[in-house]
Amino acid sequence: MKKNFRILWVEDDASVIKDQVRPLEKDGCKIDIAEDMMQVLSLMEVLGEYDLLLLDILIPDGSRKPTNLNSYVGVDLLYKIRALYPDLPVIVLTVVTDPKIQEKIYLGDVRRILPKGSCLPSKLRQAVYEELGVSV
Amino acid sequence: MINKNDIYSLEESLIRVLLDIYALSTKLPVALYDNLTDRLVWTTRSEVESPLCRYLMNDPDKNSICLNDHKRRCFSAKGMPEVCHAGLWNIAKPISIKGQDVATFITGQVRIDNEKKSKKSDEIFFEFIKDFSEPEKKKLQDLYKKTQKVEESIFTSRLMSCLADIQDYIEHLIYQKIYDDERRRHKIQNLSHDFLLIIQAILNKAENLKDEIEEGGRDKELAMMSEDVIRETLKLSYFIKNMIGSMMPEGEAESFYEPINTLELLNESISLFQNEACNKGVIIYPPRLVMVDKNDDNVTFPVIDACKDDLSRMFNNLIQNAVKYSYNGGPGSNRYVSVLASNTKDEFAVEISNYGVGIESDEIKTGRIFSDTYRGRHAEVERKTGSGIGLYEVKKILDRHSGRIEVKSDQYEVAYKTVVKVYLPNKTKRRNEKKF
Repeated sequence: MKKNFRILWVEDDASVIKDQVRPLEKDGCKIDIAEDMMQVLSLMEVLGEYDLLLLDILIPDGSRKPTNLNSYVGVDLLYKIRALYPDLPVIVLTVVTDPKIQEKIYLGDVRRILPKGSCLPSKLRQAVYEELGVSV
Repeated sequence: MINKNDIYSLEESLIRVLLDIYALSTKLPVALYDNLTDRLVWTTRSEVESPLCRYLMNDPDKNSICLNDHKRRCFSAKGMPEVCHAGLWNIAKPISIKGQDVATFITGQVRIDNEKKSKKSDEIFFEFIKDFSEPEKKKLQDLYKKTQKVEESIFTSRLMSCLADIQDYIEHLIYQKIYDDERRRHKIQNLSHDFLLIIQAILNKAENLKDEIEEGGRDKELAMMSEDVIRETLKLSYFIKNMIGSMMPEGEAESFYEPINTLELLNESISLFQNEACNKGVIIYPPRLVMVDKNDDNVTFPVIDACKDDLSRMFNNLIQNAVKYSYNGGPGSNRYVSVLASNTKDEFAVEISNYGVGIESDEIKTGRIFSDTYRGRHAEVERKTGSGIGLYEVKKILDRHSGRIEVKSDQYEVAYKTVVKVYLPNKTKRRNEKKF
């Protein structure tokens, strides 16, 4: 069973929680990291080459300018991606529990929001394979 | 976006002082209607009220007519004089912040000394009382006549200028509050993010370590130790979420509803505290479903619509309390925590019992055990540490889910048997719409 998937992980703190994707990497998955919205936008044309997007919601926009306290850059990014890639599987890994934001995420055709702070790497691995229709 | 609680949580006393100053200088009643929470804050100066309004508002059969009419005028506030359902003149003036109407002043309750306006008042008043009994009509007419009549110029110019004065102050208060709340929410969110990020990093390392020890067929004890690290870290994650939850003012936190497998959630909570219980010589029995009614079909643990994060914290809090306040193993007493569930057409209930440190009946009756940071008298004496936010959070979560809680604590020989029973509505309250 193929497990060498290409995953784009949008996470500004990937250096702190890089072990989150270790089991996936051990399976042969290739994980690329983008730290802000601008980096993702620069990859927009090739985003279709990825099998799955793992997305954080609280990310910088990359402009290095002060942003609104209440802005959820990841949600804006999700909608931008959806406009071009309606079928790309997306999993959100975030600390955000605000139901209004969660509703916005689900409206962006996301089936899973995983809770950062209590998500074991094995749970993420399972969620990724379920999302890709692969048995673990 | 302005949150509905921005206005609700305003220092009400400050608002009242401003409304009272207005009432005293105009001799007119005034209220501030919170458009977003559907609440009216009245001046405390009842002496300025119209006798007709006071009578109607104090009559339980009629006050809803007045309240609905107030709200109707507040929602369509134009800042111009208009007549209420009982023929009295009012002005409803909206307060707008960042382009959003957040509140409305409503003031007046007078007759106006102007032929055209008096005629209109009379017409509406007599239409309003036409279906009342004769004695009631007489009473209402008398009160209508006693309601002060003011010159039109006073009603429009003096009143409008006083209104403009306090409007500035109240707008400033609301604006400041919104700004402070935004900063506070942001601070809580950042703190939560920083803590949970580190916890996530530890969890990742611990689980990878455990898996790789197991894969290599190495020391089982090391794998078990890694498992302990995972469990303790998950507990830490729940404590942080509890702490963040307790920092959110009541009514501010909302819940995202999704289908929840209640058995799975209960088992997760039990597994988190099983080790701690074991170390004390206490057993947590697996959750068991008891039949309430022989004819009842609901004999399985249900899937209910609820907020997963909330329910998980609630069960964690209850099981943690049961373990923490159980007495250590020893002869002659019970050493277990039981988790009994029941499921009826209307409610899913979970009853968690333990034997150990009890709660006094007055603390239960007065509801003090559900107050923020309150610790029971026995708990204070027998367990020196504890945040006192467990049951407070449980109660808040149940309120958000339209649930309820019952607590009993009775002395049995050397220990108290404490039973906490929580009830959750067993029907779809709200389902968030998803696109797929």
